[in-house]
Amino acid sequence: MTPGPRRPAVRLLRWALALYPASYGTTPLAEVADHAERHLARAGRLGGLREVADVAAHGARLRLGLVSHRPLGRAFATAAPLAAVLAGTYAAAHLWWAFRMVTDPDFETFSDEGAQRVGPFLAAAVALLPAVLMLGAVLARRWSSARALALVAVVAPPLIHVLARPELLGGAADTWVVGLSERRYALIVLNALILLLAPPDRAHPRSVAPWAVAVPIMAADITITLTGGIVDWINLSGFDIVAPVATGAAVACTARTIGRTASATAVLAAPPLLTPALTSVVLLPPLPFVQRLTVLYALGCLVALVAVRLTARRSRPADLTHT
Amino acid sequence: MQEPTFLLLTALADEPRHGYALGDEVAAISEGRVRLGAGTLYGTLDRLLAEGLIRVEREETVHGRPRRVFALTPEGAQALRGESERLRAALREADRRLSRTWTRLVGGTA
Repeated sequence: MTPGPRRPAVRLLRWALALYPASYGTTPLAEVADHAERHLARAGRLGGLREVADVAAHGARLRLGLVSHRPLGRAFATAAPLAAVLAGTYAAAHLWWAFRMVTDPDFETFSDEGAQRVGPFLAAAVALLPAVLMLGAVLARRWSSARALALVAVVAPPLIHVLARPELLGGAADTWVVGLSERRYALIVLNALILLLAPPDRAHPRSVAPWAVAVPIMAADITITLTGGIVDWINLSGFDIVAPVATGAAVACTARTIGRTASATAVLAAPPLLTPALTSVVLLPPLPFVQRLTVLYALGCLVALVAVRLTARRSRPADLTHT
Repeated sequence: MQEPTFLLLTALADEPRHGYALGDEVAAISEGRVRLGAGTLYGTLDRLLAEGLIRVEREETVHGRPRRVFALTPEGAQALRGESERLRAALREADRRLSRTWTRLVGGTA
């Protein structure tokens, strides 16, 4: 006898189905519900959650008009590896920060930023938020090729800093550890939404994609470290350094040939290499943090959108390389 | 073409099927390796419909549950044939190189 669906999962499924727009139609929605319920009846607890996440992501994409046969949907899919990298970085950094908060009461960041305002327990809970979001992403299977990139983005920077400038060893952690600020968590949520709602990964070719993103990120990081920019950036998250290059590199990942991937990566890696010079206090008064963040991120997304649209226009309609 | 898309088109190659049967068929073809969730399956079917590679052959109601039966279009069959040929060529090349390596290894140990 087939066991019935688990009740909490069924309740979650109802909420997930509510995400579908009315325009999707009653028959298709009934099919999705029927299919998901049958899966829930057979799946374990984890498998059930994964099924619900899959349905929720599809419903949300439909509601937002981000379906993969539209250019906007393709651009959205392009941003998924970027979101995975950033969410992975945030997740690891905040996990580490939470660990330090627990093990070291005198941890400097604890007294520097908003943790003082909200109290240690809430601060620790919020610090775990990115990790929870990453868990959701894993459950929804939205980051298969990008998990390697997240690893590179998390592991490489501290190593590079320490190798290049050993005197930073004591303070290197503070460079990547950020405090509780509303705008940073807004960015985490934004990236998590992109990541969770994005269609399944579509990086091509798979062997090139991770490195096409990882190499420019590390190149930017090495440059910033060697030019001493790291001192000026000490209070920033890695977001505004990484966002444009990762976005551009994600575009490069969708290119169809190695040559185009390489050239797009090289071109789009330039802004973060130049950014430390442009924003250095020595040369120019730095832009306010939010402005810089917004401008760079918007620029990266714009580049991604244009590149994807151009690629789509040049491609043959029945070519399924990007499916 | 990604593997789920290829498997879905393959599942429709011999006869029209409804969504849930397609999910089972994909799992069977891939020997259980690929199991499509409802969101992924119907998202892919929506895209294939929009691209004209499949069509809804009919709608029916079974045990009070409405469902659509999907079928391959000529464009879909052509896309599947092209992908199949591409994979076959890659397999031939892989086999050729592997057999050469194997011959060399056997020759080296002999």
